[in-house]
Amino acid sequence: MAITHKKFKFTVWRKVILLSAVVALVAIIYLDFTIRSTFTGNKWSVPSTVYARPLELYQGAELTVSDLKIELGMLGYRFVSRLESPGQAIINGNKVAIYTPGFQFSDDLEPARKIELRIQDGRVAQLFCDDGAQLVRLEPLAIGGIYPSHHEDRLLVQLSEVPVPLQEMLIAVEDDRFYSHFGISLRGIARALIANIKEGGISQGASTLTQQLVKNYYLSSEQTLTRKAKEAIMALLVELHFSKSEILEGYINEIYLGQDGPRAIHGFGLASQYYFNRPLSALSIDQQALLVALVRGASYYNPWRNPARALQRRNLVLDIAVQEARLDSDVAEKAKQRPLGVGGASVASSRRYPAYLDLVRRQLQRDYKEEDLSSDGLAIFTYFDPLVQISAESSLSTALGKYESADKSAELQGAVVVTRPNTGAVIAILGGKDGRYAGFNRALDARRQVGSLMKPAVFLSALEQPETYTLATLINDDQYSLLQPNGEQWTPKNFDLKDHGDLLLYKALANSYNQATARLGNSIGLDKVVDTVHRLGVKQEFPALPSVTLGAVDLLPIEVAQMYQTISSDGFYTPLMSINAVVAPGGKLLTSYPLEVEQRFDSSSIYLLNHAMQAVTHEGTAKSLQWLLPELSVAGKTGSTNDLRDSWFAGFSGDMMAVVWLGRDDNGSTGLTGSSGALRVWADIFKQRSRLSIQNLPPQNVNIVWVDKDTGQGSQESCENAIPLPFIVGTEPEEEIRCRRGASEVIDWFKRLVDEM
Amino acid sequence: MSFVKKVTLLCVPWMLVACSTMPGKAPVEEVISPPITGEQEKPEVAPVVKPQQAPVDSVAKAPPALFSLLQRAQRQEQDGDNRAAASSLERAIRIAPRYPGSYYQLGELRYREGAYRKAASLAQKTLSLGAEGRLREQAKDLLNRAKAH
Repeated sequence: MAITHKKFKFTVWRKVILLSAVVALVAIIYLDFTIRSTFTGNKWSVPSTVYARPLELYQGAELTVSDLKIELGMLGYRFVSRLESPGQAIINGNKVAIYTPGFQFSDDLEPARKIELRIQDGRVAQLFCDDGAQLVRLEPLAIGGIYPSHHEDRLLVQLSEVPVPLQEMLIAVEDDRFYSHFGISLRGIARALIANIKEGGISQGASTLTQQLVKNYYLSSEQTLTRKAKEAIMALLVELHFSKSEILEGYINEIYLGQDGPRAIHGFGLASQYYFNRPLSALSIDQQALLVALVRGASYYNPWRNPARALQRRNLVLDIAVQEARLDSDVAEKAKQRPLGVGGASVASSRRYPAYLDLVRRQLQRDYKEEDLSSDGLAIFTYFDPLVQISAESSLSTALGKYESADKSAELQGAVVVTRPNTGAVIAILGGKDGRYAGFNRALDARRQVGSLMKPAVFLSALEQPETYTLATLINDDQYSLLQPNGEQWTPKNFDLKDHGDLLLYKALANSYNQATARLGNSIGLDKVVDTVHRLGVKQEFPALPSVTLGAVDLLPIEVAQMYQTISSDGFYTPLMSINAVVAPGGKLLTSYPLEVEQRFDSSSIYLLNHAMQAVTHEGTAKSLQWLLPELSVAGKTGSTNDLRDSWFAGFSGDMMAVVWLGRDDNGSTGLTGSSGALRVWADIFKQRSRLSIQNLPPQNVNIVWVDKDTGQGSQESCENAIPLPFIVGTEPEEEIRCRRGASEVIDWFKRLVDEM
Repeated sequence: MSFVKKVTLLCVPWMLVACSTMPGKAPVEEVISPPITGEQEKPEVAPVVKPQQAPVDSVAKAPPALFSLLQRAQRQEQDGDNRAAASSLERAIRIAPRYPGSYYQLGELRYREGAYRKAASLAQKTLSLGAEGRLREQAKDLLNRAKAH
């Protein structure tokens, strides 16, 4: 009996122990699963880095000293008086010397080299490289990382890119036994326990780097015993699955180091850009120490708000590193003498381009799975031009700032898409008035009525029938009325509410007359107009209603850009692209996005259209460009919609194409026409960034003929009212007006005689 | 002599011709610019767009440095690395997007790869950018060959 009782007691105990062991085991397995699934998923691997276009340097390249200085500054170059190591540059008047660190591009390795150049009149006048190269690329600016699930633009770093002194200081200050413990420090726990018992609660932590990392990922910041236990078990498990360098790399990329408005700064890579405006690898010892100092309290030690506190903490970091024999004392002493050295807060935080990254992400998603992008450390090379982006940002915010001050209740918004003609490269995007913050990307997502921006498609459809329509064909602008299939009368009105009678075809486009355009479009045939819009590159389907001719179609700014891209490229369709190539770590090219061109329109029809669109900027609705951009010849079209809800301008020069939209998210009236709103922003961007006038080369089958500007009859250069217009051979008007008399006629006769001999 | 070598030789003369000219730009038209006296003021005489009369003067010249890139593309193709050759040529196009010669060379590359439609489009682009002289003849020839497939 006694034995049975004893046996019974033993069995109960055994069961209790067994049960708790099972519970603990299940808990551990669960935690283990959590760690393995998330840590091996995206967090522990390096996401893709997105690069801007590289700056190409060669003799004759368009470049100013100030732009080069901005570019070098963004790339983290230090301006010195003697070139000693890569990442340094000297600017001396118009002479610049650069020591590049070299870079692996998708097609080639650009080696580290010393470059000397002289800049004159906005061009590289002379270029000399120590290896004899005539054409060199600077390394491209990293503009963000692809984190599809988080929509963050972090700059993740690999451990090899992290300066060794930074790693040493971090370990000295936060966890000096990091390389010897197995996730938790027993000594630390014992010390903390004693302190906690003394104070009667749980207040002191003794976290290893591993524990801090676990805490950052999974756990709330409350101080309870269960949380502490969970943290310890998970830390042990992490150590079991990952190497010390993987853990350190994870920590360096994860730890919270500051707050930039709504954006949390995680990781040393982004923090380096945020505080110092340069990559982590380019930081001096004192700057590295400041980042380590921020680990303990990014807000408390904020170098802008609390500089004295930050300096004290930074020097403490340096002292501890010396104490722990992880830093030479003379190096530390030197570093302690230096000021905080943080960049201007506004400069640092403006270096984010969420709208462009948004486009990159969407284009990548056609070819890549989210997991691959966030984990494989790919290098993504884009056409992004930070200099153009910065100009576009300032142009838009200046313009919107001006209008806002007049009427605060109307929240005016805007979107901008800038591309390169011929190549279809998208070089800058603004999705809203504040280019820095991600949010509603109007350039890619705001479908708005395009109004008169549609008119070039109507006129192009006409010019594709050269036997019937030339630029000098008289068309009628009297009141126009059409009975629609639904039984309603459609009677569009001109913006100035006037009729303009008969006028030359090109003038109807230049002045954006609605009555003439509606009549022209509906007599050509709506199916033809719709077909032209599709051939220009708009993929979206829309019904062929009579009002299509006046732009009663909702399109995205990026779709409008595609349409005008084709016009700017002489009728060749090229899909708009942000990405050039995707490269795996190590340099293997994964995907390239080759240039595609497809001729969709006859060169002579496009040539005539471009001539008419140049007239828009010379004598039509955009003639203010004559004094806004006196030195640049451009083609474009204004667009305004009913009640002035949308203000558009789309146009191009020889080296740039841009679409600008201004409007309100609630679709309320802006009080702006295309020319009083969007055109100003457009002109400002082109004034800053475009250097080449439109190059509208007449095809061989086009002749220039003088015609009367009111009747379109053939005329002569010396006649009053005569203007030159291009015609496709065989469609020129006969010369009906003659006004040469006397001597000039005789001279002409001799001229012809000489020519014939 | 191999086909590639022949093509290379054919290309040399127009390269030299282009090499001998400095980079320059020719604005297509004169702009009559009214004095800057205020946004609302209108010029007295409406300026007229003057069409360019001599197309030949406006064909884009390439900067001298571009030719090292075009030659590199040829070497890359000879070495059998078409992808590298194409990306060198595309880089050349990005540097000087209006220079017709780069499009032609890319067109020939696409033709030899059997991408005849792309080759034809690139030949058309070469012509549209005002290719002249020998390059014009070559581009026309490429267009005919590509269209024959």
